[in-house]
Amino acid sequence: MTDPFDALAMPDEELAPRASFARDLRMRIESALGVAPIDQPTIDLPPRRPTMHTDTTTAPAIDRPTEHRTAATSVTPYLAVHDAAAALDFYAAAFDAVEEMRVEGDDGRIGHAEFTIDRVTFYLADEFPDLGVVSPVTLGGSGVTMHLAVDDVDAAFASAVAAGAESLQEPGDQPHGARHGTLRDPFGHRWMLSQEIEVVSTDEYAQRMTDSEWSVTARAAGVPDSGNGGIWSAVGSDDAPALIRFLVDVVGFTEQIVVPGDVAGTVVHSQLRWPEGGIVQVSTAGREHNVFSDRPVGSESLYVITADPETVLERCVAAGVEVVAPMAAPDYDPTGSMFSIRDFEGNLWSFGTYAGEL
Amino acid sequence: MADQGPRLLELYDEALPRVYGYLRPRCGSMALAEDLTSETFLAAVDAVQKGRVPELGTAWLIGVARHKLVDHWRRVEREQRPMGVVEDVTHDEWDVHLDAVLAHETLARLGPQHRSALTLRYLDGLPVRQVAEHLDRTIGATEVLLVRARRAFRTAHGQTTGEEGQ
Repeated sequence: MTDPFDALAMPDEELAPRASFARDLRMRIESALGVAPIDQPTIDLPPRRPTMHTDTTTAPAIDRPTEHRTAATSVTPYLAVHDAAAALDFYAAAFDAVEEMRVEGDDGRIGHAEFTIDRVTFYLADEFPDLGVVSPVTLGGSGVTMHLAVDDVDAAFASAVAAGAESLQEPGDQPHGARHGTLRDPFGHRWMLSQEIEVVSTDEYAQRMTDSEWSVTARAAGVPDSGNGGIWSAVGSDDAPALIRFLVDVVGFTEQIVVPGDVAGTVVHSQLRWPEGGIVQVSTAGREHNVFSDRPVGSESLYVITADPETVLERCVAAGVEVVAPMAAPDYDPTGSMFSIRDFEGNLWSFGTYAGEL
Repeated sequence: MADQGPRLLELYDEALPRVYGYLRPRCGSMALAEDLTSETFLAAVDAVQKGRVPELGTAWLIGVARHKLVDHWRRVEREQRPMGVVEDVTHDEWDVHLDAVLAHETLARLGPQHRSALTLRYLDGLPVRQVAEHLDRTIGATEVLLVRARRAFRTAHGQTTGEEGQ
């Protein structure tokens, strides 16, 4: 006799939980295991357009503790070395480094150490290949050079070589106003020791380089970076991830924060920063119980101040974006230039040099 | 003891939809399924750190999830007690063709004891002996529980479909 209750049998089928739940749980597991969390993107955006040049960074995790943000305007080199204890000794001898602290595991490996050279902080650790922490010796080279400002480059260079560093380029005067030399330390890291010997403007540097095989250019002056700006605009979208991709990959905004919603493909908040200042917030329109998202999609008009609208226009044209107003000098800014585009939802974006009255 | 922590993290992406896929249809709500999924993985972290995992894999994690589910029903049962009624446990045959969707709806309306017994026995397909182990009962007591659970199910199913329960 067949048992009617057999109808209850249920095959184990895979079912993905909410992305935000999956991410939060991973962080809890990492935290419980005492493993340093791997930065996860805050949202699964569609793939970047491969032909577009952008210099975006991955959006930072949104709920990182605030004490990790203290170095917002600096970067600390975190050196991986094949023998951390020996490296700490070497850096002390070569660069007068002062060891501030170390975290040593039961297996003798140093998981984390901090040292300072003059007032500059460095972090250092042994190799942990399973975490992706590998040293230049393992990699067979290093893609990064530590550029270290010193008061007396010849003395510092000699001291480092005496301690065991390999000279790659002896100290010499450079047309940009520094005297510098390059070393490779016994752990494979490259150092450029540099001493300022004269103050040279970029224009002067460019002048000195006219007869060389290099040409020097600098960011056009004129529009000071206004930071995050004083007023942020908010744009609702029926496909917020796509609009964010467009603004980042084509137009040139950078992702500061993207917060996904519980519903797949929705964005409850984002901050896209214009590199010369200001922030636009893109989020999914028509979210329940959210009065801010209850506005007509595609009805916005935004003006972005940039010293170089031509480059932005080139990127937009290359991507086939609709240009509703070609590049022209506005009446109110006869020496400037401005153009306008329409995004795929109808919003108008104008880019111009006019930065307001002083 | 080999450190299985990294292995657990490696396993996470693959195991999460399996564990959640096991729990979600067996829980009434997404919130409960998420809670129990979290409990499962955090218990796994604990077990890994104490070196108590014989074979770390998805199958083991689903076993942990099953324990968490049973623990949940036990908690609910304690809150809802008393609910036992002496019943006649003869006449346990039922000749009907159950629609799986309606059957799962019916199951969701049963009390925690009956629901857990039927879930382990029929959704998970465990033999009575293993059901008994999970519920921490003797085999005899489990068989009686299953008979009562089936009867409760039939009554509830009659209400679902508008038929009289036999």
